[in-house]
Amino acid sequence: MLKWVAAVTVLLALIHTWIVFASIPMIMQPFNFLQGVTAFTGMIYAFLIISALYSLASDLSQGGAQLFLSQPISRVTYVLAWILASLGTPTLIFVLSIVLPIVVIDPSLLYLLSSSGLHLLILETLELSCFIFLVACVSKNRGATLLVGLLLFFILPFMIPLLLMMIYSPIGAQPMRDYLFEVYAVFYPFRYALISFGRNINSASYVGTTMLMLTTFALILFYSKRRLEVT
Amino acid sequence: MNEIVKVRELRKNYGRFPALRGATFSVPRGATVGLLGPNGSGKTTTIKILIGLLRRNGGIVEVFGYDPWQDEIEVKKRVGVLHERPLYPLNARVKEILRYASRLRGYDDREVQRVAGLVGIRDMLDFKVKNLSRGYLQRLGLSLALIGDPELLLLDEPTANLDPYARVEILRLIKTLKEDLGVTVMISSHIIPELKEVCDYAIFIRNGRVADYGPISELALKYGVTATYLVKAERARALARELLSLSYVLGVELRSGVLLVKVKGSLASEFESLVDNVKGDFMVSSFRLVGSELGEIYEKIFTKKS
Repeated sequence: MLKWVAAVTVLLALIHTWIVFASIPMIMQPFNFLQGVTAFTGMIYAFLIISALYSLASDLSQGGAQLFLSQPISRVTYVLAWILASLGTPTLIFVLSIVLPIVVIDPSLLYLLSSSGLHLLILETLELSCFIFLVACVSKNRGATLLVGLLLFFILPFMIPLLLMMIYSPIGAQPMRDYLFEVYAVFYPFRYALISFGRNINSASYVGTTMLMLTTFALILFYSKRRLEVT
Repeated sequence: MNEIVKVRELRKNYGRFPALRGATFSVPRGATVGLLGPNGSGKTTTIKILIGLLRRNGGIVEVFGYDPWQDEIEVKKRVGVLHERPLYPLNARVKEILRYASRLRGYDDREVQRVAGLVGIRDMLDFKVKNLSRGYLQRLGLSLALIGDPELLLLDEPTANLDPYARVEILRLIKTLKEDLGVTVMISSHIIPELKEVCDYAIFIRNGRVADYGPISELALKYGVTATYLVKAERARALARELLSLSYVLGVELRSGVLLVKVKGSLASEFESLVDNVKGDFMVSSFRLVGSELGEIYEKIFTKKS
């Protein structure tokens, strides 16, 4: 019983935290309505990817992969197909679901996208997704994939800033705090943009996030070529 | 003999557990091979290495001259496989799965019809996978393995978890496919008697090591187990009487002018020379070794080894 109370309390606390974080754009000046919307819908986008990667881990562990990999396709092709299905398709759905309504209402409003941080959200989601993809391939474990997915998308991005704020004073110059936030910005550029009230992400963070994503992607390809086994 | 599979000192570990500890065998083209051994002996691991799903830790593996791990596509183009516990999308229709696999191999819907016809599931193409019985699921697996006319069929425990009727049906189907298509077949099983009817070549594996392998007729002679000869003779009845008087002849069966003679394997060569000598007297037109007691060979090999 106590466990349930603790679990539900934690869950509700997390939901409240997400809502608070997602509401930040609404209190920002100038207010960008789209940024608030994407902060919410970005969670659905992340959830779509996590569930697809859960299926990948399931495919690898339960024997579904045997069906495909017994046909004349390479392991790399199989993995690339999964990348397209689990990362590419949700990204396309997400982008179109934002762009199409704007185009229908008034195409001239498309300029709002440039300041909505959509590109940051997509970059962040793909970077984290690549890491979860690698976990799914290596562990072939649905539970581990789900856990890492939830941790990376829904727990760490909110817990880390809270912890940093608890450890360091939010007022005044704090070199260590600022450095840790810079590191946070590499992993979570979109959330960083949110919590820093629209402060611009510096180009080093962009490069860092992109490099991180490409490195993980290269690791996925290397692993699928050299190590990916289907038991 | 033209060997299409060559395996030398094959090793495979799962973590610290050695599943294969230096297995060595080969498979000649055109043979129907029984990969025989108890549960956990390394049969499934061997098959998965041969199709390139698992990476070996040591040794040499060649399938049609290719390394299945490195040259996976070349091998998969020429090999069809039925896995022990295949997992199909339950809500998909039979024809959808076959169509998908056919396209991956570069074939169209005609191939779907062909393989479905070969295994007798043409009437079930519109069925959903979840509505198929276990026997028909195995037929679906076989039809998937047959897409593109592979030169080698790997069947991992094709009769596992089937009821006796479905088991007989699947074995009959494998036998027919073998005769019709002339494909090399490798069947793994721990149920020895059911392979007796199908196989002419055997690989005996236990604890990740191959104890022995070769044509069953040769293994029968080597281990001195009962050998069965088919003798065609004009004076079959007289020959049967003559043979029954010999101590190493265990039994003679007369079937419309053809004799099925069971002989002690250790004295099979003596029997062969005797038949050669009396060919003229009994007007023997032909005789050949048709089978041996696989179970007996299995028992002798593993008794000797342990």
